Amino acid sequence: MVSICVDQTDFKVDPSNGRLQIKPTYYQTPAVGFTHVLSGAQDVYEQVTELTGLTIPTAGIYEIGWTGVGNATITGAGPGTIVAVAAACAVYQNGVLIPNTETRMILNSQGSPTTDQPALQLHASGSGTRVIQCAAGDVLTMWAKRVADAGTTTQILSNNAGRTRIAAVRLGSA
Amino acid sequence: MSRCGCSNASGSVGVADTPTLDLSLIGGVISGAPILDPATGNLLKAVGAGLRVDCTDVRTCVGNNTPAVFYQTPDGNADFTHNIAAAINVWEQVTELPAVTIAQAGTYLLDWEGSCNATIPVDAPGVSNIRAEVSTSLYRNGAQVPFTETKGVLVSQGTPAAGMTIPSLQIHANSHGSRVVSCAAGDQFTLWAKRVSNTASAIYQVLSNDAGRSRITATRIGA
Repeated sequence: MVSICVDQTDFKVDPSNGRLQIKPTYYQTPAVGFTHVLSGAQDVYEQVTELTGLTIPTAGIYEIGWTGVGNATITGAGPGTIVAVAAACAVYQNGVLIPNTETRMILNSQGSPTTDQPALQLHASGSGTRVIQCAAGDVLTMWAKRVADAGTTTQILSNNAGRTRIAAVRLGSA
Repeated sequence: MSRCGCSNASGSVGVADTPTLDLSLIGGVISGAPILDPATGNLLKAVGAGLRVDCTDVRTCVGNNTPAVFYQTPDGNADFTHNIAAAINVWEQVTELPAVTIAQAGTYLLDWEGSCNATIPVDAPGVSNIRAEVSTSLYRNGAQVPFTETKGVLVSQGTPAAGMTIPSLQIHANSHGSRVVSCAAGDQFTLWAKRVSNTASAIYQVLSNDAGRSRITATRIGA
């Protein structure tokens, strides 16, 4: 049964019987692999450009979900040295931080040792959910930041042991 | 077809309306017009080309462009550091995070996140059981929602050998869970947390700041 309806934002027509069906509208980033070293200004979010921006073609209210895999490594600490390293991620909309999406990935902070300490590498993923309004053409991107002392490594990663990702599910109209 | 002056066996012609057809006999001419039920909800309409129902009428009636129903902790909620004060394995509310109230009954997808800090103190030689662990959970109307216990972070130090003093270690990580819950109007969801160790001088916290927010989101997925 051929549909003559041209505007099918929320519904589609079952071709076998002509009945209306709920049409899910969602967008999500593909599986990508990268290691993004965070080495910019302290406590300043920078874009994780390896994750291509997610474009939202259809305006509406969306539930977005995101995960960032972080690496906070203390490469070594000598006696009397307090060493801390932290990584966080957030989702931006058209280059602007979406409020309340800042998400802890991992913080690794060691007190002052009395002897040389070996390296300590910690990975963990931080994820979040938020409902936002999108206009047609909005682009969602992943950003990350570090707060890190000397003698540390801070990264945001994506590989088959843990993906960094963004997904958006349309809930309805504004 | 005769237009006028027709006779039947009884000698006259009349018309009789039906529930769906309004008939008229004027000057020997019979005409009819469809009767459209005026009650709200009837999509049928009479246009120049005949009776018609458009796709747009049906979509509007069944709810195209249905407004989304969702509730979430607000933007701009003040930063906080919540120190867990309750005894080991006792849940307490993270009161700094506002409750999320469900106004419209239905089935909801609940998501919660707690940004956690578990810190162990300096560990002297031979001292064992140095551990810090924080978990979070979702509560509804003051009662725990089953299956929502979520690991935040655990850090546990082995027993140092003689002459080896291990410095303190602070670990922050994010806890995030999802659960589908059938809600009544007025239900209130809150974030709770607990510590799972008794190490003196350890730190157990749930935080919210621009390096990691704690939040609750509820999106209605159906009736």
